[in-house]
Amino acid sequence: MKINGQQLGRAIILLFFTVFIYQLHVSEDILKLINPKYETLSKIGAGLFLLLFLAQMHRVFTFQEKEDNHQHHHYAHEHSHDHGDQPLTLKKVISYIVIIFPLFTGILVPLSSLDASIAKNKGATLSITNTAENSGKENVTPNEEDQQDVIDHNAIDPNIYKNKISKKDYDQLRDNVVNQSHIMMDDTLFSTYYQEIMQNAQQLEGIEVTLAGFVYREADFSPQQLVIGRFLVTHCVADASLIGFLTEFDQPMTLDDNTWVEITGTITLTEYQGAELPLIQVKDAHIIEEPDQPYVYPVNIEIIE
Amino acid sequence: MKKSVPSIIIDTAILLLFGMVVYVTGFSDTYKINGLSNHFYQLNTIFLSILIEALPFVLIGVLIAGFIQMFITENQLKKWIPKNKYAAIFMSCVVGGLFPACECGIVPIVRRLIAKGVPIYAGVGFLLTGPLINPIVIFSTYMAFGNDLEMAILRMGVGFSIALIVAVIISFLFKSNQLKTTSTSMTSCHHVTNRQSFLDKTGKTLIHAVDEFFDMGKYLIIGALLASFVQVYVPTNLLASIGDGEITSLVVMMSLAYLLSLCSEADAFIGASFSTIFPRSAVLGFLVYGPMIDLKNTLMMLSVFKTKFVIIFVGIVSVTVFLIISLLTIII
Repeated sequence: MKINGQQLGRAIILLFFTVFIYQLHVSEDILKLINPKYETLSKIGAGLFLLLFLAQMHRVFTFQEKEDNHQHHHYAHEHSHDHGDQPLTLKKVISYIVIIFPLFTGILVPLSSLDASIAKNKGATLSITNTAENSGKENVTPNEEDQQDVIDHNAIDPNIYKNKISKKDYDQLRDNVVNQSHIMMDDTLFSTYYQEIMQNAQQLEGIEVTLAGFVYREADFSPQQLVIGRFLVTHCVADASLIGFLTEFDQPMTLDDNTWVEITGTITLTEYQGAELPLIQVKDAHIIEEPDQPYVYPVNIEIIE
Repeated sequence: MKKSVPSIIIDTAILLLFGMVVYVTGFSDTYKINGLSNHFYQLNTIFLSILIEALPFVLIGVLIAGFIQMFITENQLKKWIPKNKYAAIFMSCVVGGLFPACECGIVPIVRRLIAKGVPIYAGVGFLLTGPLINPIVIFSTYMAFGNDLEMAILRMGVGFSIALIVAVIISFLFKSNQLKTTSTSMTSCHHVTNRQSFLDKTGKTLIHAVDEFFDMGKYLIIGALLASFVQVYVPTNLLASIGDGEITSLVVMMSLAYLLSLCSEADAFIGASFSTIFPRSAVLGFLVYGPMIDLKNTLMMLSVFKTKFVIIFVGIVSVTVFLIISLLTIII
């Protein structure tokens, strides 16, 4: 019996991937990486790694009886792609190092959540202004606007993992937004409310909102102004975009970027970089801990009931 | 039934390895590396998120590739593909359109198909439409642009035409299969024979998938690392400020699509967020170009095809997307 070291190495790498993904799920760190909607897919991925590992294990040992067979096999395709039978060259060592790299950083380096510096890079205020501008145009055709709302937010409950909402409930909820005197933006429906407020800013003027988010600033803000927002994650955090409101306090604010706050304030209208957008006049604010689940997700509507 | 000695050894080894790996990953909690710059943590998080998101798709891709290798014979493939070049191109684009895949999962499949004798132009058609046109992408584009079904239709229509054009150009430029390994013996890896039992074939499918994963995995990882680097260190604002006017903004949006390497299912939402700073044509460029070519999948293609081919191919796709969309802007 012989042990093929390289095949064993490959098997161990596959197993490490399996266990690494599994651990991400167990520790719920996976939520720092992907939208919970794709959790199942990622579990399937871990399962496939396990399957490949088990298959690979059968190549690690060469038993006497199979030896001849194997030799023949080896010579028959000398020019074919790498089966891991050929001797270890520097090039191959490097490629194994590359494959081990994410396991290494994944296991040893703690995951962080995205912060204001990323928002800055992604051009956060650009997207804030955009949504507002968009809504202006859509207001012309109320019918279509309605349609868009129904389709637009697709989301997930980050905390309860109940990531679906029936279309009936959803429509009702949307109708309620406009009639509410005080909007509580909870995590589950954050993106829904955000879209509603961005699109119906005129109608919602004067209404109170309560929301939690982190502080983010642009260079051209006045000392009283901040953006309070959350990252919206569609698929994985690489596609995260900041959704947040411009807020104004009655005194200059010294809060650092990335501080988490919960605010209550009134929706007013303002102009920023040539676009009309809602601004929240803050009445009450207090600093909070960063939530366990800092991201928000688009709502998933069950169209088929 | 008494187990054979080899299988006992294998089972024991599996258990031992399990213990070892769980032990190592478990204990690493106490040895977390702290105190590095914040940017590094963010980079690492984005890098891992791209990887964790892409891995299931890549694994499904390599398994399908393994399946093709073991269960489909060259003769069967030859029978299915039309003799006529243009018919073959058209068919490959349609099949790609029906086949739900992402841009990294499709590379190993295309490689296997081409190794099995599918002409390069048909493989290219499949490679281009596979990630771009499929139900999930249509639906997410429709959602991201809300009432704008037009964008989803444009994305599919324009994307499909571009795939056809590129495949035709490729068919004139390249005759051989362009795979990295020069010998054609790739197909002889494991000949499909009727002598092998189904179970045997399944086992070999998995073994093939393992080889394919190790061939391709490193490129995926480097691609994900580069893409996350762009996300953390290259400000989008900077790019956006360059984009002024139809032509430059199209170039900017296409470069953005290339660098960000987003999955085709998620890019519609990002594209939509640009829809007011950039003209529609530029956003369309982003949506069509991204799934066809991006940083991550260029690197993966380099693992499969000859470098020269990859460079020319990326060039042709970029120029075609650019020209077709510019032309559309002039006409409409």
